[in-house]
Amino acid sequence: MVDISKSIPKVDLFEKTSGEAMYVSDFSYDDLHYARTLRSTEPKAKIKEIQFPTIPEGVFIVDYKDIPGKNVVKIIFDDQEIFPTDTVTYIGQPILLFVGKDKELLEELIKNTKVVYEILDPVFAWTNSAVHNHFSKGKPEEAFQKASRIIQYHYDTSYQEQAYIEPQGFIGTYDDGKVTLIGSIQCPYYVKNALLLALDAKGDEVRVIQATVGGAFGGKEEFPSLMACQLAVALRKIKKPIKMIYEREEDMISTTKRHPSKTLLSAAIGSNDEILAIRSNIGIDGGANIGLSGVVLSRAMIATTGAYTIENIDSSGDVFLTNTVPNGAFRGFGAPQMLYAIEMFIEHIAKDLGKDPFEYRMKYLAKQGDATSTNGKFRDPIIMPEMIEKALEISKFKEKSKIFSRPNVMKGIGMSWFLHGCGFTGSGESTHINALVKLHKTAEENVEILIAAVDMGQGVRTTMRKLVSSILEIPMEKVIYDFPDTDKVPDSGPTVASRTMMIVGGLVARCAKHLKETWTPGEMLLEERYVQPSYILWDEETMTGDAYPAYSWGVNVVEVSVDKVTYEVTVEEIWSVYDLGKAIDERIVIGQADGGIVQGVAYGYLEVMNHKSGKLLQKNFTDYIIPTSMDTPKMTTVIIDNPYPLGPYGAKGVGELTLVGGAPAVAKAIEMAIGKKVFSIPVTPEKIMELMKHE
Amino acid sequence: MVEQIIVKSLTEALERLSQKKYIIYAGGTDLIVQNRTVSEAPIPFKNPVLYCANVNELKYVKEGDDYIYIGAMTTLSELLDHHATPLLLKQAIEVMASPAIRNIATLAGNIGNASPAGDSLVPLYTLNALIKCQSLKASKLIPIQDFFVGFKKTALSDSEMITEVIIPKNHFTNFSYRKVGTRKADALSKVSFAGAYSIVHDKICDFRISLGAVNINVVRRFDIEAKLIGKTVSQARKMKDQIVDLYLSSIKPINDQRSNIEYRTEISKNLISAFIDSLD
Amino acid sequence: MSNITFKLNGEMVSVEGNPGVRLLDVLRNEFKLTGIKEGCGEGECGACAVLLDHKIVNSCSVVLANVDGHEIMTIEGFKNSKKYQIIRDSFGHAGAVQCGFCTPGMVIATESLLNENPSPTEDEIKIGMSGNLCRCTGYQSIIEAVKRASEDGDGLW
Repeated sequence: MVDISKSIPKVDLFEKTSGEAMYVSDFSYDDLHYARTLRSTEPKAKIKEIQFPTIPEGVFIVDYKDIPGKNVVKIIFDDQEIFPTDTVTYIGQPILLFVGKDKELLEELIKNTKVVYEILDPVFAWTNSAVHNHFSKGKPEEAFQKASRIIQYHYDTSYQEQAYIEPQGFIGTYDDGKVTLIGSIQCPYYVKNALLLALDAKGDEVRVIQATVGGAFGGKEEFPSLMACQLAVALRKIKKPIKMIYEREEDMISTTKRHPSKTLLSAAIGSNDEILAIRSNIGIDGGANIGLSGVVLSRAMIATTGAYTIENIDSSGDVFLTNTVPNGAFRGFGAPQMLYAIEMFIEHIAKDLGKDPFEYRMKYLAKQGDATSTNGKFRDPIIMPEMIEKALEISKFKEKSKIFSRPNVMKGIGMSWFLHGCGFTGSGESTHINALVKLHKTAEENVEILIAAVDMGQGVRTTMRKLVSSILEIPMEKVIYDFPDTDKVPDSGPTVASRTMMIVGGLVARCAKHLKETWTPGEMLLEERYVQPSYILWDEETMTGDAYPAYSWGVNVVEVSVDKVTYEVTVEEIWSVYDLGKAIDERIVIGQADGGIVQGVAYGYLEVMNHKSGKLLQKNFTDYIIPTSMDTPKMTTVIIDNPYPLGPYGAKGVGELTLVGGAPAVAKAIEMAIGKKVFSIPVTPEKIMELMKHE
Repeated sequence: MVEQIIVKSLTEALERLSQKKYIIYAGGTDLIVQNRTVSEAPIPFKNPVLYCANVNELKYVKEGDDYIYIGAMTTLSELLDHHATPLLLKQAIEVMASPAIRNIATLAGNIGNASPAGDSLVPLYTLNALIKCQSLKASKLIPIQDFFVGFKKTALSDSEMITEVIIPKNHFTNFSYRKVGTRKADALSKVSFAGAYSIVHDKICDFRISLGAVNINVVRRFDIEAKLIGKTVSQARKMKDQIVDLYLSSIKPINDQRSNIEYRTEISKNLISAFIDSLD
Repeated sequence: MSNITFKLNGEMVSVEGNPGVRLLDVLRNEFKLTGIKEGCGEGECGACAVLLDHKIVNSCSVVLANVDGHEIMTIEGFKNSKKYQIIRDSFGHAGAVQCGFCTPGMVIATESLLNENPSPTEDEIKIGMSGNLCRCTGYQSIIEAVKRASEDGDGLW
């Protein structure tokens, strides 16, 4: 029996290297129309009037008046309009669509359209809390009362743009009352459900199909629903095929990004220099709508003590609404912000107490059986000590720390320890998703996997087929997995939250086992629905219980050098050790590891995005800097098996784990290099210069 | 649609220019982005265009006794590949943009674009380059420091085009180019620096510094450089702080989406300082 | 307005009309060569890369007028060659393809690099690939793929 982790060729290698893979923009139809967007130039204003130039024959305007159903983009909160009725709340907000066959003409018409605004007062300060959460564990108040000392610091993080190389887009057709959209998306059913509400349609009047997706990273989780609703309304009105692909600049300024955050962490220190309690307060900038921000906040708050067990916790947080681009899902989903803060904090506490940070942190490292931050339980084995040993060995962390800590060496090495809760936070998996998967055995004895999971590069087209092929002991060629089409596949949930292999794959594996046991010649259709393990209990109100069914764990070590003259940071080398249960394909998992750590580290030192009065200053790849091949160092990744009983072959979540630890590792390395504490990321040369100049 | 002419010879180009003003389009990597509109639409040029990239007679690098002559349509890649291209210029070209852009972008285009952050400009200033501007009737050589007359403005008249860049051959004791970009490749400059010097019989007989992206045009201060001529290395080192301070009046960077005034100023000072420290 | 004649994937072609259009649009729309992708439209990402006289260029940054009399090869033309197969297989072995959007551009960049420098060092590979952005792989596997291609394709370049 071959080890499942052993790599096999990716099923989509040939189509992708040859350029044959079809992304949304590669589709075309006869009589194709284009949709272009008129956008708000004000952060907050009432639309008094829109003065159009003469609209020629064949050009259509689509706005809120054309919406057959509800003018709401169905996400979680009903606070986002498809098209504004009379008020805009962020620069770049889509106001209406121009649809026609000549893109140049549409652009001309948009340029000559004048929107008359009544300017209102925008809010950019974090004062308007739209979501407030709080939970506690143990007796934090008491702990703070009897503390010998309180250590407190602020930690700031900024925007991060997903920067998928393929911009967002859809192409849609209207046929006999039915709207069909092909899109670059992560969640076909999120889109379909949003369309049903917007069009006041029945299930068979809307069809959503995934095209090959050119990267997503969360940016195509909930955002596409807005575009899809707008396009669907246009399709219903005009009844012609329409293509809607964002230009890079409009994508960058108007689609969701990682929430900027500010975290205040306080530690109650006891008389033996022990951490008695931690109090955390995190604010995240939701932008103009709440969207998924409440869930991002939850995940961030739950990560408040990271990989550590702290007995007494008080965690609170807010989503602030501002008149800036609405923020949303990005790989990590709140965890990167908080894990950065807590990793820096523990390090800073140790330094303030005159302790060796490594030894100090070890005392609090979570162990199997410990209560989690929300009073759940770490039920499964935690192999972090073994992972840390390995990381120390391959990176020579301790030896280098000694050398680099000397003054004026301008080199540093930083280590982060972290975890990532796999799957939806809390009871989302059972209450919101209730995933269903199907396996269809055809008359030719092929087995078709019917799930809504999307391959956005993470290789699920290969790994899911591999899973079924392995369980059924049939060749890969006999396993089919087409691009998800809501007319054909059940709702197995969104491709998010590191749930695809663990949860959806888990269901597919169970279904495959049933198929194997009941296999008879001829056509068969089996299904499997998610059932929450009975011991996973979560109280949404008080945020207590098991926030996640399982956790993946990681250690990142980053070595940097800082230029004495220019303060530029060079990332010299990276080492990572991960426990993700079991790798369904080692090469694919290493790919996730490499890509994730580069994004995570770049979040910590390279990627800069700011706004000024609601206008994003970086709006293209020239100004928003992501790493090139010259910016990436040698990366070594070790995966240690620690099978999770409910995951297929023991697999847990991978996708986000590999990003969330990068920023604190690089920030700590820079701290060592410059001999100054770092509180704000990205740690740009400009920031380093500031830190070096201030005593 | 504006008039667009493809020319294959210099004479043809100059004849056209004598009749009206054209956008002189070489590789076009800057122009195409500056004039961009939505994808799939034609480029909305506001003025007539003269496509000169195929004027093959302007593609050359020639080495004379005292000068290197670079034809205006020579691409950056071709310059990198040629043995006669001054090393200081090569160092700058190596870190410009990307291989794909270097394969069609030209030196003349980078000069004509006149960006304060134009990467090739800084070494060209230090190399005392001369720009040959030709019209149908006349030809003149303008020293590069006189070629830029304001923010993104050159001394070219409507009937002229750059046909050649002429670089005096140098025998520097040492030189150094440094670009501080937003990342290690494919980046715009926050600050750039090109320094060169010659020491003969223990005395500095040539000292040059050019700074990019810290003013509307490249900064070259002949008056400051003159103070170091005739000095020994140790004398020069003693004057370091004073020299750095003198440059401050010309270091007037801006805050933008890439960096800020404080950083650009500080790094400019550090680069000048480090250069003087490196004198040997 | 003008007639631009060039060799495209081995065949002579002619395009009439406005020469002030992007090569990317001509290739994708006129010739239906959708293997080339648009990622940014400003010459930063390299997803639109093609070979112009066998050197990599960003087709979004090349005006049709300038290709008159030259030779263009896209991924569609290149994929029939043995060199392509070597590159494809090395990308596969190295795990260098995830979402695939940057991949045709990476393949073109690899060909452009190896054509000029058949045995590049790791640093030379990094420079050669520096104009192609990838957000999925973190580049390490891509650099490995190029190295492997140069080794496996011994004699081809």
